[in-house]
Amino acid sequence: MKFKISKSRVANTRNGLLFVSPFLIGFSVFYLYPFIATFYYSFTSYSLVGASRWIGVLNYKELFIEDGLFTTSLYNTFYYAALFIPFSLVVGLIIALLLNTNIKGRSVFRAIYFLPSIIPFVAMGMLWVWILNSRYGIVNEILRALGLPAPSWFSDPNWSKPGYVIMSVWASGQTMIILLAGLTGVPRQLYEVAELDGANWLHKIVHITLPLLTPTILFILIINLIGAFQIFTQAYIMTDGAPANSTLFYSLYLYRVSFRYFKMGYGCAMAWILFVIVFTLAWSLFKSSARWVYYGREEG
Amino acid sequence: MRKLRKSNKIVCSLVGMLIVGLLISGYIPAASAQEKKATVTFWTPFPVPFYEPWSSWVTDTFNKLHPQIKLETTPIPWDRLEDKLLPAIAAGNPPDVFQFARPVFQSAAMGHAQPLDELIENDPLVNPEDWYPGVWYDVTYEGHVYALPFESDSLVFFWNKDYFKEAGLDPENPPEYLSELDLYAEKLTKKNAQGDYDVLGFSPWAGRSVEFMHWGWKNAGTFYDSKAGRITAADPRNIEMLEWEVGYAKKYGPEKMGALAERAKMGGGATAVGMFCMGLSAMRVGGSFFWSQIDKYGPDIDYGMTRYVPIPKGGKNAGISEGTLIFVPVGAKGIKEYPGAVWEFMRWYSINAMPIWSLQVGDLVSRPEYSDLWMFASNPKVEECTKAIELTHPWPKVAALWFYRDQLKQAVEYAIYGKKTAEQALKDVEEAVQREMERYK
Repeated sequence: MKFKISKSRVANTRNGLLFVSPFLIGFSVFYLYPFIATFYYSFTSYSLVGASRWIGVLNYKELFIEDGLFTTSLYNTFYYAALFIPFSLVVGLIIALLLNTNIKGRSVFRAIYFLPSIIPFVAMGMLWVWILNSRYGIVNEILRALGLPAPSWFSDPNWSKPGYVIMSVWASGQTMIILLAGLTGVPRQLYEVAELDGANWLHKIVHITLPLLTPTILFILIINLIGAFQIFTQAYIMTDGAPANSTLFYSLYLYRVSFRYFKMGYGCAMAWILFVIVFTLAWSLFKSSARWVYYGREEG
Repeated sequence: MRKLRKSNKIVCSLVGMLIVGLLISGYIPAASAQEKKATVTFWTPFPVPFYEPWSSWVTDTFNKLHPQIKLETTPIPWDRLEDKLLPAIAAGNPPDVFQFARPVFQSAAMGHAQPLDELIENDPLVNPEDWYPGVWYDVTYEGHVYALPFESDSLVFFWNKDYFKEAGLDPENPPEYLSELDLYAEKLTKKNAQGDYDVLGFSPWAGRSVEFMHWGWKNAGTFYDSKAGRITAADPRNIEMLEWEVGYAKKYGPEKMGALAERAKMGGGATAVGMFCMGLSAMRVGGSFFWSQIDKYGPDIDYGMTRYVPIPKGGKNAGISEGTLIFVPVGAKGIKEYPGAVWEFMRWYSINAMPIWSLQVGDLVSRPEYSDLWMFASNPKVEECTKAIELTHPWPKVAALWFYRDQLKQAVEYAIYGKKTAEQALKDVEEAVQREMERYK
């Protein structure tokens, strides 16, 4: 009897492995191996053609000590992330709250606010080059009509990054939709109880909605953190780093190093630094979540 | 059981028929396989998307002329070329012939291109002296020839004659020196009530002169000391020229100039329709191919063009010439298995097909023998551009030339936006490129 069970277990295990083997093979070949290989190559000088040469930590040393563009690109990316992550969250939250109220044509509005996030990055880049055109763009037309100064967005190193933030916030319909889903999960009774206690709308948002949304917010923060550090396509299409390297984001520089100058080893080192940065930030977010994320369980 | 057998029979007979059929049909190619065609694979950036007939024309014509060779052409977009070639080389399966940007220095130094010395020595039809010396210079590196040239371009000065007349300047006399250029630029610039530019007289970093080296050369500056192997970007004469560019930024404002340039951008930053074609700038340093773009996109613009781009007093004429070339990637099979066929195509493409391409799209021929032909000589615009090739300054023979040029473009931006002084910007370039050169040792 015992023998029989373990036999079927063996068969099950084998069959199970067989069924998941497409994933296992794909994952090992296309993710795991490259992942490990890039770590090795980050200690070499390698240009795709010819053998790689072991140079120890020289790539890392050059990045941290000698390469000014590395610092520039890191600064640009942090700048962008620091603006984009909070803005997209706040804007997404406001829109989600508004769209969660009982208004006519609610689903139409939801669709409208979600639409920008399904536009491909390239098309979006083309569009925003025009929207933020210094002379004829609609944004500057409005600013001028309001008597406000109209910046030369992508022609001015001080305004180019905010330009990207505005564009990305516009396209963060994903954030809004996830928050909306989170909002529908907030039990109605809680609001009713609060109303009986005389709470106004602000009280309800601060004391009920936000605490119950914290798991959703944590998820969004992590997703947007990863997304922000990977900004590439728009920057590659729209400005390619100009003006004066003010939009040379980390991934763009990584691409340039690897595929324009073919310094693959150097590029691998950059990729690993990016990985460590994003990992550390995401990890500390998780760690901190114990203090501010509420999962509906009673404490103690 | 019976059923199974029946179906087995059907399968068997089907397979049998297939085998017989294959044998019969295979017999014919098997017979001619003895004189199997040599297949030459060729990757080119040219045909997509504007000149689509080109790749099919090349393939059809070459195959008709050479029945014993089969040419297979694959068009690849410009900015994807290297991305495609390098993995192909690494995987041991590159094309037999590859068309790429001139000069060849970096491809040679990085071991992407094979030397062609022997093939050239043994071919009486291919003589280096038949090409413009500057063009041939670009296909050699450290004593070896690595490529055959294709078309060429040169650097030309364009000016809008109508704007010259409006500003009271002689439309037949373009500025000769930078001092005149600065003066003309001021006179030709038009501002509107909001303080934005409607027309910009001149921008030293617009168009083809986004490349900084030629300004330095014009002031007798150098960028590389080949004897010492030192990068000399921060040559005081180069700094002087960058400061001259910064003068424009200070006077006209780089943001306002950029805002005007944005208007000319087509969609995602392509500058095919430049400011000059739209009447937004009055003078411009452009590539020799630029006149055909003006004729196409700004047909109403009455312009003049000269090979004498303004120079500093006491300076010299020194332009840029680029173009493309064809080389044999390292590890290509064709050159080992049927070198005759590969070489036949390379020679035909470089010498015979090149003038047809140039005529078709307004590029320049790389061989003087063609420049006197009526179809080129009868067009004064082409003639002026072709003469400009002779005023070209050679590129420094630096393996990291593209890196160098990218760095210089960035240095110009840093300087004009006031992020660095001209001297600091060029010193940083010097240091970065010097460091980059170590990789090639």
